[in-house]
Amino acid sequence: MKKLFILPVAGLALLAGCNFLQKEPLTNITPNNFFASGDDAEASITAVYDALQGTGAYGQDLMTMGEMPTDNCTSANNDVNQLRTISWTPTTSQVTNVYKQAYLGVNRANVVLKYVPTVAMDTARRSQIQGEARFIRALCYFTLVRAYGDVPLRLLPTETSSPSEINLPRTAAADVYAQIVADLQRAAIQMPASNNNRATKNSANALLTRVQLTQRNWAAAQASANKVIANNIPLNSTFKSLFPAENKGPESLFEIQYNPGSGDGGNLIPDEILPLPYATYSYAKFNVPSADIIAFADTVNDRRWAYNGRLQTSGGLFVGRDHVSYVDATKNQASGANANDRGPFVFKWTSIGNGFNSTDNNYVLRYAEVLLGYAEAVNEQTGPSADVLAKLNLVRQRAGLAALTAASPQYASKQTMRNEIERQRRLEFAFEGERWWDLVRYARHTLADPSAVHTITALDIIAARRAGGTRDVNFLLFPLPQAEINTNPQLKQNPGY
Amino acid sequence: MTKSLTFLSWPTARPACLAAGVAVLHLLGTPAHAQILALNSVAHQRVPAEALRTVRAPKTVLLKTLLKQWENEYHATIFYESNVVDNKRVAEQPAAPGTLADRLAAVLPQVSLQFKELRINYFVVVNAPVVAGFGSPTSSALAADNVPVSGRVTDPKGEPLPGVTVLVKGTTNGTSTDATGNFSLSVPENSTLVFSSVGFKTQELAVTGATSTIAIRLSDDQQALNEVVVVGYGTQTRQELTTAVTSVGAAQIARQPVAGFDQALQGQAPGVQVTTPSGTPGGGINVRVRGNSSVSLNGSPLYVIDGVPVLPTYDQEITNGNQRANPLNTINPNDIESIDVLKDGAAAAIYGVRAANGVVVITTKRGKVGQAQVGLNVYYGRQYLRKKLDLLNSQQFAKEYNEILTNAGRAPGFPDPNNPVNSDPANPGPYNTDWQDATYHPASIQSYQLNVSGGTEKTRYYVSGGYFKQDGISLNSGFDRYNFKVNLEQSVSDRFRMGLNLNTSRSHTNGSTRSELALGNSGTVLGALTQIPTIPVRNANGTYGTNPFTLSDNPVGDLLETSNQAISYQVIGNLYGEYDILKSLKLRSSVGIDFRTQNENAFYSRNYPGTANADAATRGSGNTALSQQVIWLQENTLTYNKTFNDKHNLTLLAGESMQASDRFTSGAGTKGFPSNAVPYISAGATVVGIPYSYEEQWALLSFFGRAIYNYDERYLATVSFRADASSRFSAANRFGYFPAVALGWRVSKESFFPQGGKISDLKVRASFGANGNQEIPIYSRFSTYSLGNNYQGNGSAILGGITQNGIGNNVKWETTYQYNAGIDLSMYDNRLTFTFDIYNKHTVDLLTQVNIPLSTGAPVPSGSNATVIQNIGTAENKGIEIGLVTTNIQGNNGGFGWTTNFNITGNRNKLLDFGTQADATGNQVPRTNINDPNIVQAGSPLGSFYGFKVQGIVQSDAEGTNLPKQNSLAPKAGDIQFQDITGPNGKPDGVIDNYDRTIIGNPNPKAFAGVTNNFSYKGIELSVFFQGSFGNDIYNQNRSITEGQTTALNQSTAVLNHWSPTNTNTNIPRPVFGDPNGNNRVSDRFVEDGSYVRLKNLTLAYNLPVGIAKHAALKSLRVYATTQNLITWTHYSGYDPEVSADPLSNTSIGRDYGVYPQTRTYTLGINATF
Repeated sequence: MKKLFILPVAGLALLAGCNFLQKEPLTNITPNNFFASGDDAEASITAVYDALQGTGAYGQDLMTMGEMPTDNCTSANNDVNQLRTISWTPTTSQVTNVYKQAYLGVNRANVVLKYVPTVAMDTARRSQIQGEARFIRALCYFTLVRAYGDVPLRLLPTETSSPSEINLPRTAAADVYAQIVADLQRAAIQMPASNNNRATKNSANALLTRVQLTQRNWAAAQASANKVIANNIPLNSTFKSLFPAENKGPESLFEIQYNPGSGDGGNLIPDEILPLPYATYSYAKFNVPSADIIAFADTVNDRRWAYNGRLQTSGGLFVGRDHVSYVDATKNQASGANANDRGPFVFKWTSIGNGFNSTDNNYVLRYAEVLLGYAEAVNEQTGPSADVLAKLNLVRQRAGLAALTAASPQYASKQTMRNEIERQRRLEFAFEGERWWDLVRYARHTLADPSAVHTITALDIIAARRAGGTRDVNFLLFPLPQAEINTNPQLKQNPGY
Repeated sequence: MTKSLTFLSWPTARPACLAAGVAVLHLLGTPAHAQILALNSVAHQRVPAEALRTVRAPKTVLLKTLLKQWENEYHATIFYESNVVDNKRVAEQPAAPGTLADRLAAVLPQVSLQFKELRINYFVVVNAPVVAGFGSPTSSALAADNVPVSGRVTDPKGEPLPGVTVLVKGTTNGTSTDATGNFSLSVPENSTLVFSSVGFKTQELAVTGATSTIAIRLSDDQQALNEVVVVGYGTQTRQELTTAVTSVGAAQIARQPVAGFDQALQGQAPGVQVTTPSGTPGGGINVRVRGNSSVSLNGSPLYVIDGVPVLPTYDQEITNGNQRANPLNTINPNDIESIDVLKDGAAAAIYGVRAANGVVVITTKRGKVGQAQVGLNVYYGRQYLRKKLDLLNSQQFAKEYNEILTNAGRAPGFPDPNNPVNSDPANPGPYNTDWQDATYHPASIQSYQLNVSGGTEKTRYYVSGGYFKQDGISLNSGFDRYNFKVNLEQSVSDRFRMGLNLNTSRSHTNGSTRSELALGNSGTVLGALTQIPTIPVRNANGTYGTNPFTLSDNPVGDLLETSNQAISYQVIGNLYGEYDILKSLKLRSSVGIDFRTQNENAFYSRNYPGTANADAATRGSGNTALSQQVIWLQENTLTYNKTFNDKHNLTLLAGESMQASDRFTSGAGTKGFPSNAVPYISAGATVVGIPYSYEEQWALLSFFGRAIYNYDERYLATVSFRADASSRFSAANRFGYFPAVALGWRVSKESFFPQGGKISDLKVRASFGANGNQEIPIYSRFSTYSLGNNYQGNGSAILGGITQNGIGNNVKWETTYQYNAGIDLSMYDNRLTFTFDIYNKHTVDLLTQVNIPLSTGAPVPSGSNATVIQNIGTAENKGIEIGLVTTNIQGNNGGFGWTTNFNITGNRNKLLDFGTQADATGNQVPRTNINDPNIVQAGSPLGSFYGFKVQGIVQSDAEGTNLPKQNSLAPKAGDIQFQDITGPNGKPDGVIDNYDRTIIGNPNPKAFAGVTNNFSYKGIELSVFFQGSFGNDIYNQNRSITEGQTTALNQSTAVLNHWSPTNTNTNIPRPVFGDPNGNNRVSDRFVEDGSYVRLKNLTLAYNLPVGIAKHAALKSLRVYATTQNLITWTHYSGYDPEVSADPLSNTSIGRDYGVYPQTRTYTLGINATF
């Protein structure tokens, strides 16, 4: 009988213990059972990079969003029709996916930045990991701010259902840019000088150059570019050797890795842009080179666009003429090829598609862009100079073009030099996903300073491609996705949508 | 006699104005019945009034309170008729040593009563003889002019009743029956014997001379049976109850041949809606107390089985396949003594955060003092498909299919529809397969239960074992259960008792993995309806016939070649000790357990038609899964029970409870079986997926208290409070507080109320209580991550990345505030009892998944937004309940008797608020969740059907061109014209699109009712139980296929009347391949009235006369025949109006789609006691 009183006593003892209600998830990772070792920190930064691979980011949609609305590309594929005709809406898939995927990256980076600082591990590596997370957060916010304008600025991981924390209002673009610059400057300090697979100090400064050019903060852009240039990085000796991107050259400052053999996802882009026999399937391709850009390029002397040889299948069937940046497959005879596989196609991704599982990487930042960015920043401040020519000529000469001199007509004025730099940017980075953002940048430059004339801007394309033909500035921004508007009562749609 | 109201209330004796009605006074006392007769002479001194008046005015107490107190104190039974003790008062008695007999002797004479100790600890209190003076009346029992009488007392079923008090009227001369119901005593000639026993109506019998053949059959006293109501952590008498509690007795439960008690509850209690969503043997049952009060959380009531709270989470029982095992099946309905349903907020509030859906308290049978009694209950029956649907035969199908094709401009499928031969030359046919006949077959149902019970003063026991087996009418399905039960009570000392309640079971569900799946997933219910009749079940070469046009599966093959064997072991029980700290203060301490383990082994044989064409090396697949859950419970309660100043009756309860759960599951699967010989995963060649394991835990820490107070049993009040701390909620919202208050007024106890009239008891009551619902996923408050996504690291190293897969939340429980008012009325000596309740349930902070912005960066499954659980919205249920129990004809001593038990409930359910969401333009509009055909939106009942409205049939193509476009096309002749209700601008826009959807039906019944009539005559009993549901709609989604007329699937005969240029007066559209007009979209075309009345149970029983039974060495024998679902009156065209394809959902209800059909059952059974 006395023994039975063990029951209440035992119960009260358990109460005294009082961790009775602390039932932590046992088969899930939580902040409480994770972030205990260097391995955990590495896993968390790996997920941040992974966000860049997704189809909403460099895996597909950023590559079509950056090219399809431009004078570089055309396509008969319905999936990119709204991009091509600049008739996108809040429910356009790329509009939704780019937004979604960028915030996925932001949230994962925020997880790293919240929890990794207290992980017991090698302190140098721990600092690098935080730098890498800042770099990718900045890259994602840069995507967001230049595509959508003012966007919610979220710097902590989403770990609560509280409406006040979930439904953030828009932050002014200037403040988002300030955060991007701060993150990149810090990242440039924390990240290592070199790493073939991951972001480095040079990645941060190269991206900073691009960000500051977008802000038209020319002096800052020049300074950022100079930090990369000071490292004396060589360009790849030939343009051809850059492609496909496979961590090959010293020129690569940051690229998205695809390594499907190791349990990782492959790259969709090659199958989406290449004709048979390189692609696995035959259908209307994305990012098809436009007649405009082929006419724009010097396909004889410019090694980036010059004829490089015939492409044949292993059986000797004629596929097309290799022009380095594109293949002229107008007379494609490969078995299975049909009208979808005939015509010009982008040829910067040249491995076989492998069933939407290609190993080709995507460039995000190349040294050539830093050089051209430096040239542009200096030209906008002071007009043509030897300093401008020095950087510009590195790119021209690698392309097989003659070095410009003070006597060259391009040197005549700030405007002529501006035109030349723009021309080199277009030819150098065609199809790599930056053209639309350059065109938007040029449009905003002219809007802000009517004396700064650009040969073509996004507004010209909007007027040309949209029904009605107006230079509608609202289309310099994409609309916020309907899925965001539907759920976040703090947001108002961008004007014009 | 005077109705003296002197200060001392002495001597007071009211004339007996309330007729036979036996009060059970002991709350947790020990019912004690034995056969020892001890005559006790008592000195009935009368204390002179003057002597007392010289003492300082002592206080008085209610005699019955005092007796109750002494019962507890001495663990004795003091037996009296309520009119004898009535409200008599005696002088307050000081706590003093002495035997109970001494104390009774000191008190009873104050009010002209006397007592007799029939046997140890069993006292009878009766009126003192008026004329006998001080002489002991018992002495006359021994007088020479007495005659010996003897006989036997049985219950209504003819089973002997031990412990029945047999008294010579107006005296204490008497005895009680022995374990075989026999008694004998000497009585004066021409005296009257009074037979009384707890739970039975008292009977009187005049004896004129010596006899040995007295045979008395006592009839149930319905009122008395219900008198003690289990209210959670205690009991209350029905009269003192201030809350809405319905009690259902053992007889009502055990009568029905069903697997579980939840199924048997149907139609028995007002306010409790029970639906058997499908005919799957052993499947989950939908029980809703006073409507659905939650959109997304578990809507099942909390079951408290012998003190152990059990919340059935059918979905969690499943680890594999599609079975919804029912954890409540662990209890054999034969072992249940009573079920009390705590319906209003105040009654349920003592169970706090789990009580919002009501609480069902199950009490299992206990042993009674007496010789061991052995009971055997056996039944065997056959089940049949209740109804077959009329489908096309081969020729009809061939013609129909040809029209489907030719109307779409295609070549006909059958060159000669009058000779619909199979295109496969190996199986030319013609065939005319009836797939319903091939799929369903009569099946048996059987149950065996053996129980032994008995006890001594110190020990009581009830032990039972049972076996139940229900084969399914669908091939290769069934459920069986072995169960074993022990209830043990032991008095260790005067002040300390302990006991054990244990329910254990092993149940086995044999199911094909296919039966209720969708058509495209080879569901066999739909398969039997839609597989075409022109092919054979099996081809000449033994393979299964398959549809040559659409490659759909073969339902017979799907059933026979797949299996899922689920075996679960379950233990629900507790061990408790009770200690009397003081006479009025009791400590109860218990540990309980709810242990469940389930293993499943699913196998798809190599011959499974669904993969018959697969690569031979991959054919055959298996899955196995194991789930084990231990929920332990530890509780301590203190109960204080005392009466102050005679009239203030107070019961206080304070308690603490801790409950915690740990569940572990694991599973794995393989494929590529070289043979069907070994259907276990180890025989497979390749592992499918990654074998998994998972574990989760929850805990609940609770404190509660309750005060039950009444003044003079006239003014009644109950106040309770529970605080629950749940591990499911974050620290900020951890504690939920659930108060309740209930008030009652027994009008019939007022002096102004006419006593002795038609109305024997009248009580009005009102209550308010707050209850919670916490059933969100256990770990949803945590932000969780998982390993997985890769990215190339340094060199060639690949590191798995972590990604978020859940967002933490800081929500709180849903709270239901419920107001209840009721009337309890008894008339005509309790031959009529009437209960009326009206309630309003208001549920706030509804928990539901809501989409969150993309900018959270939270895990996003393909394309859509991530969701979190938030407290959004308000729901309301209001309704009335009426219960009526009448004894129309009292059947004393084998005469004709007739009783009726009727109940009806009307509930109105409405979602009042469901928050807002942005529309396409970013404006905030009311939130809707549409899950075809159901919608959740503010202002509508939960689960309302939502779709298009049929306007008619387009009679010509020309007419169609002027009609609104449907699916962007002008409807053609024979297509359905849907109503153009509105458009994006709020006006009809000439386009039939999603704007034109509207509410097209309500699956919630306007009312549901049950009525049971019991007739008895001699040993024959007839029980007729009707049950019905009124005003609910069913969305008959089966018909969207069987009347779809779009592809090579068999159709119902309704399509014979389809539209054609020569048959224009019809509501069945034209057949056309691919349904270009969307004739089969969700519309009111498929909404049907689901009202029904059914003869749920009809039982005819015969109780063998005791004399004959005796020859067979039996105490009693009852044989009976029962049919279940004999007749159903309904307009519903499907298999059964009692149907739900989503049995666990609160919002997707009343949809009939591939649901396992219900059966009609005929059983024969016996109940025997030895």
